[in-house]
This record gives sequence, C-alpha cells and structure tokens, in this order.
Amino acid sequence: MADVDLAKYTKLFVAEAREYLRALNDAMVGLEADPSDMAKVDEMFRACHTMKGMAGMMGLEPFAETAHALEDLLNAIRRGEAEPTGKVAEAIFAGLDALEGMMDSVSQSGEVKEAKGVIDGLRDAASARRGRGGRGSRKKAAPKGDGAPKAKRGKPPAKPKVVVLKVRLARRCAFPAARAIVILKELARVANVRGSNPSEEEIDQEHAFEELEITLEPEKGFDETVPRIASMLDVDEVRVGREGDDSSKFETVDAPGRLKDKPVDTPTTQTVRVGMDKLDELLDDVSELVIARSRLIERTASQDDRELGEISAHINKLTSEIQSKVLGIRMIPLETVMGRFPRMVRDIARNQGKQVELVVDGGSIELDRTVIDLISDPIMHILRNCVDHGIETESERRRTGKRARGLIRIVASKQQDHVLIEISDDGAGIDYEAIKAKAVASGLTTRDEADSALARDLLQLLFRPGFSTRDEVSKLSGRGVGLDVVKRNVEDLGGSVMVSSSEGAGTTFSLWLPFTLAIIEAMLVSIADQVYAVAMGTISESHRFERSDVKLIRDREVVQLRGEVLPVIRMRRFFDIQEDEGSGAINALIVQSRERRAALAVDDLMGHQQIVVKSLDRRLRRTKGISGGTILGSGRIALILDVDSILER
Amino acid sequence: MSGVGDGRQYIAFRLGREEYAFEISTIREIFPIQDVTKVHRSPSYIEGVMNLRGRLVTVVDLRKRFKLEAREPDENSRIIVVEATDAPVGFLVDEVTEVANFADESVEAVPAYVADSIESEYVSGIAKLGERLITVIDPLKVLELSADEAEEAGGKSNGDDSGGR
Repeated sequence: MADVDLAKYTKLFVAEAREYLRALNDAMVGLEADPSDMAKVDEMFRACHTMKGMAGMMGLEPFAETAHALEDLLNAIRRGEAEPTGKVAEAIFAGLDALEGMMDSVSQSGEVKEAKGVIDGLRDAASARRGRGGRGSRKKAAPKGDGAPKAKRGKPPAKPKVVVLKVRLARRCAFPAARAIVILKELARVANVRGSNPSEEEIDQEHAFEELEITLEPEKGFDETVPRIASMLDVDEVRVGREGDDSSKFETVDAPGRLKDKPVDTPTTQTVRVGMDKLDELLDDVSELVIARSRLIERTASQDDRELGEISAHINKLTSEIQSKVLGIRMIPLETVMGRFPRMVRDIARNQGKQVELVVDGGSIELDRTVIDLISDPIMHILRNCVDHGIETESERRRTGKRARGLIRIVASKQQDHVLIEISDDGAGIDYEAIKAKAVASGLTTRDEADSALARDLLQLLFRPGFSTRDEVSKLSGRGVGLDVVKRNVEDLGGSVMVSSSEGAGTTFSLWLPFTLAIIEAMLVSIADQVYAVAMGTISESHRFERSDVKLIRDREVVQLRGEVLPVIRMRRFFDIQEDEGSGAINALIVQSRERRAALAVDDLMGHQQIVVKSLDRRLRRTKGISGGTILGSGRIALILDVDSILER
Repeated sequence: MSGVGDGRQYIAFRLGREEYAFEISTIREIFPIQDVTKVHRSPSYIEGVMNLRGRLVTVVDLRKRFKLEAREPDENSRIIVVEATDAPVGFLVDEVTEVANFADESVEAVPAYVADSIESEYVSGIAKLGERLITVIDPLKVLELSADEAEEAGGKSNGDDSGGR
C-alpha cells in the first residue's frame, strides 16, 4: 500500500470508536443479563469488525488485534461454543476496557501499546470449550491472507477472473477518503487489487468522488468479504460485475445484518459532523451579536426614524432566532453520558458481591453540551455511593424482606427552566444517628442541638467538605465519600443538589441543572462603581428600604418585607469595600437560593437585560461571590454574582 | 541590542528598578493599561479581569506576585498577555523597555543570591548586557506555582497568599 498519511483521520477514528465502544458496552451488559439475545451478538460483532478495519487502516495494530480477538470470541458465542456469562463476559469486558484505554492513548499521543494479556484472555475464552487445540485456529489477520500468495504463484497467470466492484458511499459520510481506504485494505486481503478509480493516491488527496470503482482478481475469502463491505457504516450500495460490462448489468450485493435503525436517517435530513470547537466559536459570535443587538435597540429608541426602527426590529427578531437555533444545536441528549453507567454500576456491584439493577428514565432530555460534560462525574460519584453504601448486601436485604437484587433509578425530567435528575436507591437509607454523633464529635453542634435538628439540616452536613470522608462515618452511616465535590461541581454549573432519605427505604439525590449556561436574563446592579449581574432566576423582587427599616437581631441586620424577616447582606461589606454612607436608604434585591432568602444590599439597580455568560479562568473560578462574567454593550465587564455562595456564609 | 545573532528574542520589562524579560515565543500580545475589572476576594496577586476581544482574561500583578512594593499603574504600565496552557493570562508590569536579542552565551544560570530573593523556579537565567542584569522569567512557571497557592487560598476570604511553599 502507498504510504498514506492517516494521522489526520485520528480524530475521526477516536470519535467513531468511542461511539462503537459505548454501544458495545451497552450491548454486552444487556447480553450478560440475557445470554440468548443473539441479535446483540451480531450487533457487537459488526461493531468490532468495523473498528478492526478502521484501526488496521490507521496502522494501530494492537487495537486491530484486540478487536479481532473480540470478534473471534463473539463468533464462538454465535456458534454456541461459548456462553456470554461469567469468565467469558469478563474477558469481553476486559477487551472493551483495553480498547478504551488504547483509544485514550491514541487521542493523546497517537500511539497504542499492546494488550497481550487481554488478547490471550479472549482467545482462551473462545477456545475453552473446544479445548486448547482450537486455540488460534483463526490466524491473526495478516495483510497477506493465506490465499493470496498461493493464488499468485500457484495458478497459471492466464485468464484470471477479473471482477469490478462499484462501491457507493453515503452522501453524509464524513470522511469518504478514510472510508474508501478501509475498503481497499479490506479487499487487498482477499483479492489481487489491480487498480481503482479514483486511485489510492487520488483518494488520499481527497479528490471528490461519488463512486469507488475497484478492479480486482478475487482470491480466497472474497465472496464472504463483499457482503461485509456492503453492510459497513457509510456504504450505501455495492455492485459487482465483470470487467467491460455495461453498468446496468452489475448486480447489487445484499447487505446482511445492516443496522436496522439506519433508515431512520431519512434521505431528506443529512447530518454533518462538526467539531465542538466550531460550535463554541459560533456561540461566541452569536453572543457578540446579542450584545450588539442590545446596543442597536437602545440607540434606535432614541432616534426618530421609522425605517431604522423597522430594520432594528427585524434584526432583533432574526438575532433571537439565530440565538435559539445555535443553542439548540449544542443540545445533546442525556443518554450520551448515561450510556456508561450500566456498565459501571455492574462492575462496582460485582466487586462487592451485590446484585444491582440500574433503570434509566428520561435519557432523551437534551442539555447543553457543556452541562452534559460536567455532570457526568457528579452522577457517577453518586451512583458509586449508592452501590457502595446505599444498597445492602444480598443477605441483609433478604433479612429485611427486600428483593435480593437492589434497584437504582435515574429519572430525568423537565421542570420549567431546569432539568431535575433524581438518583434513588432502595437501600438502607441514611443513618441520622451516625450523622449526629459525627457532628457532635467534630464540634459542629452540641448534643442537644443535634437531637433537635431537622433531618433536612442533618443531611446538609453530608455536603460539608471533610465531614463525611472519615472512615468511621462511612462505616456507620454508610454514606458520603466526597459529596462535597459533587455539590461543588453541580453548583459550578449554576445547579443545586439535595438529598432525602427514609430509613430502610432508600435515599434520593436530586440534581437541579440549567438546560443551558450560555445566555441568561439578568439584573444589572452597581457596587462601588463596578457593574455586576444577578441572574433573574435567583431574584424574587427588588425593594428599597429606609435606613430605619433595618433592625438588629442578635447583632445581625434584618429587614421585614410583608411580614417575612430577611437577613441583610451588604455587598460592599461582603467584598471588603468601604461602606458608602450617603442617604442611608438601601437598594436591595430579594434573592433566594433553594430554601434560603436574603436582601442583597447594592448601590444601585440598573435594569435588566440578556447577558452572555462567560467563564473565568481557573485562577478565579473558586472566588467566593462570583460565578462568571459578561461583557456589556460598552465593552466593560460585569461580573456575575453567585447568589448561592453569597447566601452560604 | 536588537541585532540579529545566535540567540533568542526577548521582551524586556521593568518592575520598579529591576529588569526582567520573557522569551518572546511565550507572548501573545502587549496592551497599554486598560480597564481592569477588580475581582474582590480573589488571591491578592490577581489584579482583576480584562476584556480581550470578548474573552475574560485574568490579569496578574507581577509586582504583587513577586512581593514587591505595590504601586498604582500609570501611562507606562503594560499588560503582557501570555498563552498559558488553559487560557491567555495577562501580566501587569511597570514598563516594557525593549525587544532584545540575547546571545545564548550571555544568558547564565541563576546565581545563588538571586535564588534566595525570588523563587528560583521561575527564573530560567540571568542575561548580562554590559552593565545591565536582566532576569529571564518563565511566565508559565509563575502561573503554575500561583495556581497551587490559589487552590490553597481558595474559599478563604480575600485569599491572602502567604507564600506557604
């Protein structure tokens, strides 16, 4: 083969392999639960096969070999020579993990290391029933198949059968060149390829082509390979005929086991793979556009020009449409992260000798890509907690009259402007006594306070850093490794976490998350000559209090609003800025974060507008009271007040 | 000084009476002092954030970072923007003095007396130009070490960095 530079396809390879691996893990968890589901075996076989081809093309031999060994094992399962349970299942999972590891190192360094032990494990599993002798009966797929040299030398050169293959790729195929080279490589194993149109060099230079025409002399294995090519991803049609035949005489090759769900890609909607960085850039531009629009509208309002007013109204409308479409493009369904969870829960449960079933509901709800990326870890953490500490051992469950197999549910639902993700287990629940004991022991409360504390307040203690990580609590209460981290991550996203529990019946974690982070409605306020923004979602109203309205309760300033007593938080004081004496009246925003409410005293209220949320870099991300920033029409920066952390003190 | 020779290009700048330099390849651009929005309760060496073509860029006050006496920026003050691994970061300095080419042999290893005065990890060498001594700093190292301290200071009010390393 010509020395083709394939490094540029690494990204494509990684992206696709990641999708295949997720599907494989999912299918395998399903197959293990129902070993008779042969459709799953077929599906997995095809996925392995395609990955093998891709990896081979990329020159990632260890990856291709592992995929090949998996393929062999799946084949053995299909023939009834192995059962996809127990050791065999472990070998498959180990194989998938090895592939995942290799893929990670490919995306980082472009190289992979061999996974010798894993391949041996797979081969052993495949040959266990056939006995050792069967091992390696299918040789590693070397570029020169067994048949090739024989055919070349053994047969007389006269009158070899020459076949022409016409392969049409799907129009939505992201990298036709990469696909075409996979096909050529695949064919080179089972045929003497005489030439192709476009040629390999032309393909590599990314010449546009509609159809790949290959002229070849078939050798051993050719007849089996062609249908496989026909059922490859992104291959629309394969036709076979003799050299010189009219195109109409070519026969279409059946594509066996072609993924049934493929036709869902109706011919009217074509998809294009776009890098996330491009979408981010697009969003940045749209953000600028939204800011410019505010300026335009402001300016237009002060001009007496009807035509300008119309143009401005039109641009306003178009901008809103573009904004919502761009935000829409960034939305991806939750199940893209949830896909990893069944496998993970299975592994942890197995490690602890427990049986746990994971049920996911609402995976089709869509969230902004950024939100999705950041919640994966917190959810995983909670799941680990549920399996580790929530679900009891089998014997314990039997003793309390529960089903032996524990149940964890993830339910996602839309709630007005938020998404609620509830993760609940049917385990033993949280041991309040242990929390009380710990709180008293660490000096957070007195025994009396602890005994009279509400359950809700006790549960909040679990989220305190360092509170729950001590071993003795984990053992006693059975809860809480690093829940403070979960809380932190979710709050970084502008969401919140709550936990509720009833003894003996289980625990529920509720995550409230925003759909999107990008553009929010906010109130602008000034504090010491700087402008700040406060998300409208956290404000219930604004109010001006006279100095005489401010009372002291136990040395803390409070005000009353329609009978409700609210603590006053002076933002100047919060930021350590000199207090402005002035008239003494207080401009306040009544804000709330979960059950807490307070009056935030600021210098001035400046009206509300849509703002584009921009993140601060990691040097500032932990700053108390600030969650991000935005750029105003004037080009000045307004920092966004983080109401949650302000009310926390 | 800007003659072409065997060596590398540097941006030399001043903090008080001391001269420093960054290697030019680490630098993205240089701005005159502009609106920097204060971020209260951030680590003390952080001056604030600035708007760099729609991005919020953290500005580090290099005087405070090196624990030199604080001073209000003036018309000579500059912000040198460096491409850090995660995001661009600005460094506030008193004045950018020149773009210079230091021959490799004129940049010497850090002598012990300097290693004592500022943390030697930042310093990649000392350039001798006639009578002048210019401390060559690796801005990325400055940030790396700062990040650790910021983490430690995180959560505490005002994040006063006591240089606890």
